[in-house]
Amino acid sequence: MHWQTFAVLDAQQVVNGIFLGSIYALFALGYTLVFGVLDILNVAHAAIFMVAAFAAWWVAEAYGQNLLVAVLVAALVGGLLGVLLDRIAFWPLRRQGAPQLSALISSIAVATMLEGAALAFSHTETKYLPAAVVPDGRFTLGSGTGAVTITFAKLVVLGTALLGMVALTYLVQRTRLGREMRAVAESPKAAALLGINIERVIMITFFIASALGGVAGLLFAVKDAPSPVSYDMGSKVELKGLAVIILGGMGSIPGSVVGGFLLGISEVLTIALGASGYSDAIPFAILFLMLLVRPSGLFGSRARRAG
Amino acid sequence: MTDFYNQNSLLLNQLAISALLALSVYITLSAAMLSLANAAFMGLGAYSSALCSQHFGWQLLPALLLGGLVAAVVALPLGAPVLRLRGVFLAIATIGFGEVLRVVVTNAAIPAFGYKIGNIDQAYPGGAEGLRLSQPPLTNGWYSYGALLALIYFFWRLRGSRMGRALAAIREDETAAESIGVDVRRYKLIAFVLSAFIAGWAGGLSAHLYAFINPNDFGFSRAVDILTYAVVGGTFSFVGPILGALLITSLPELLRFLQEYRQVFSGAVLLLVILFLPGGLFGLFSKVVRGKRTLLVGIPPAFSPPGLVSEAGGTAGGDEPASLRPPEPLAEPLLQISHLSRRFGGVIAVDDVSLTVARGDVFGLIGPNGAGKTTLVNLISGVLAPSGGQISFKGQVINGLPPHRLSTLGLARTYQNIRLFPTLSVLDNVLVGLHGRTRSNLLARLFFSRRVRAEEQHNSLRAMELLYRFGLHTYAYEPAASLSYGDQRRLEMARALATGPTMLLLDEPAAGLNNAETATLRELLRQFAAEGITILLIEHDMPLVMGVCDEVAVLNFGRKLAEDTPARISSDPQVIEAYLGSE
Repeated sequence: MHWQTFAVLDAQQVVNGIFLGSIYALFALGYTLVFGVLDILNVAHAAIFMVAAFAAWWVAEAYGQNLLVAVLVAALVGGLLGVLLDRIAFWPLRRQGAPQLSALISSIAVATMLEGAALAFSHTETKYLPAAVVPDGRFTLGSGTGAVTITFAKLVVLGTALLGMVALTYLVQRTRLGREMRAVAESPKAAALLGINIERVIMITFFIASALGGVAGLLFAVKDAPSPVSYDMGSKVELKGLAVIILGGMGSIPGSVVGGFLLGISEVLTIALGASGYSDAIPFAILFLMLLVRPSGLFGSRARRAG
Repeated sequence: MTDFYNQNSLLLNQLAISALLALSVYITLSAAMLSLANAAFMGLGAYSSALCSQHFGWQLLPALLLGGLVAAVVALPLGAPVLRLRGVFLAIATIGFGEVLRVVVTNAAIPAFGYKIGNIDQAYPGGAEGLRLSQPPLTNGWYSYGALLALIYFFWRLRGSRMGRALAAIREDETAAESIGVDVRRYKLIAFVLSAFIAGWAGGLSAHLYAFINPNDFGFSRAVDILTYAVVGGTFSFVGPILGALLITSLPELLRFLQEYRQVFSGAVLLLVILFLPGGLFGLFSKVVRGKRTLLVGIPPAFSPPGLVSEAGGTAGGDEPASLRPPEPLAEPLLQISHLSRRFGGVIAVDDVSLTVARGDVFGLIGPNGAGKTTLVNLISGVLAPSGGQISFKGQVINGLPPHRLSTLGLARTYQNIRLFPTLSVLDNVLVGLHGRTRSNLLARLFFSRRVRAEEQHNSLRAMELLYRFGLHTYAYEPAASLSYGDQRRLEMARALATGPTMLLLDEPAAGLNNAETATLRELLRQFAAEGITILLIEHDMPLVMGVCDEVAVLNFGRKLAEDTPARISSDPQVIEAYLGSE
């Protein structure tokens, strides 16, 4: 390790960390939303992330070369896939009253299937988003060693992620639907007794969570030229997403946001400090420590879910 | 035969290794833990055994043993904190461990452990390119199948042993198991370490089988594969995971025609099993073949009710009846609670409560719902820790002692919502109750010692006598869940009594019972009292409380309103206003 470089962790790297972190945060939002409302760890979230990116690629190749269209496609495909996932993998188990472990395994099974389908569809080749989808251009702030170059692509990524986070927070805190989601998160039985249509709330939760995940997938491809989309891109993020929600607190929206940015920055920091090989292990070291010291995460509540 | 083996030795060894790995996950699953660390332990075993056989020149057997030991030794400090986490968090922690290991192995370099293969230097642990071994690939099946057979034997003897029953109890209901004397943390740790050893051995086997170690082989997807073997095969018995492993490992061969769609297919199989076959493939098979569920049952005793049980409850065997302890000095009050309180955030559930229960008393605790009665019992029985104040039992302060320790001290309890071990037989439920008063017999069972047989017969006899006392002996081999509500309550009491308690905490034992059943309960309570067992009773059934209790305390809003004889309590105006209401 070079201690001199510590002082020279320049603004560029911090900015890179923020961009990376915004994607992690967006991805983790979907994860944490489902866990908060349903007490399920949806391992298939990363697979949906990947499939939505593929869908956006396919639409871009065949029809429009527009970023906005790509984002909408990713969101829509992601959302619908999430609803389908719930119907197939979780709802039957909910009806049976099966233990939590079964839901986890079920999501693993669907994730395997989705990844396998993408593998077969792409013949393990990496696809690339057409250049016209990704905004061009860059600009530079400042000069000398403190100079920061920001590409429009990265700016779009950050902007979309922030928009998603703000919209979700507004939804959960200020709308009636959000109140219903919070009620189901506290106690499904009580919520049902109060006349809330649980299944509808669950379906909408999955739609929103997976739509966010899908958009995160598209942005993950967009952020670095030449915008690669491959069947295994989910596996790159899924474990980090896990680290984010543990760090931030499962079920906490601000936790995912803060956790995502923290992770992005610490990853960039590790690479900057010359230990790039270990950068993959950092999220897990953090995750581990968190679980031992404070399993509820930075923002999570200690209270367990009522029946 | 040997030709067949020689041509297929790679596949056959792979099958055995998969089976070993599946069994390692099964051990933890059967203690209700989802551990995804086994792939990482496998990696640890692989790298350690390779180091021994390559750099230090050891023979294969000691190298494999060391691989397993290294994994087990790492599992010990890892398990102690991690096993406290509940379900999904435990799984995540184990995933995290696996990833850290993978990254470390890919990036670290220990020059001192390098060795030569021919003329070429091999660095250790070899980084991302992997670690090559200098000897030819293993073809000998003894190390894999030998281990597998030994493990099968072990599992077979585990069923019906004290430890096997304890593990099954933990899986069914951890809280109940702990409160009748099972040291849950210790058993979970044992299961975790054992599973690590097996995975480590399998890792060593794998390394020598291919004469190569690929660091990416031990990550999350591998852990998921292993889990799939166990789940698809079925986790009700050890046969399931073996079946699942054999099936899934031979699948790539069978399914080569699927080519690129293999992954979709295996995901689909897992999904179908988890949705429609909770018992896995073996569960389906055994249902079809045998027509009923397999239960964990001890050795059936030679039992005939009338001849063996005397009026005083003594046994023909000559030692003390299951429910009675040797008499203890009558000096101090048995249970003393002083200024006990418990907060949950802003809510004060128990507020500065003090009371004393004298030995031999039947003490009633009444109060409206939400008054804090169950919380108080949870504090006494060690399920919750007090926020303030002190509890002493038999003159010893018991604040913060874990439930299984309290059970050894002579405190037993039943639960408001009945916590039985539903798929275990009625007899086994009571046998678990004897856990704290029997010794481990696993080692003896492995060697089929005669003494063990006699001991097991004796324990089963004690259990049967208890069942007879509660009128449940005819249901001895039925699953506990199949009993009627009233019978389930009695079973829970029989189990509590099996621990040989000095004091019984009963949380609303009359809830849901009709008049006849309540009368039977009243009789039982009087019998217990006559035998010298002290009782603390939470109840809403006022006639029962008045008819059986010597002292009654009233709680409301976490505070003690009054403590007196039943007659005076029922005429206390404060109590009437708060709780009894106007007639």
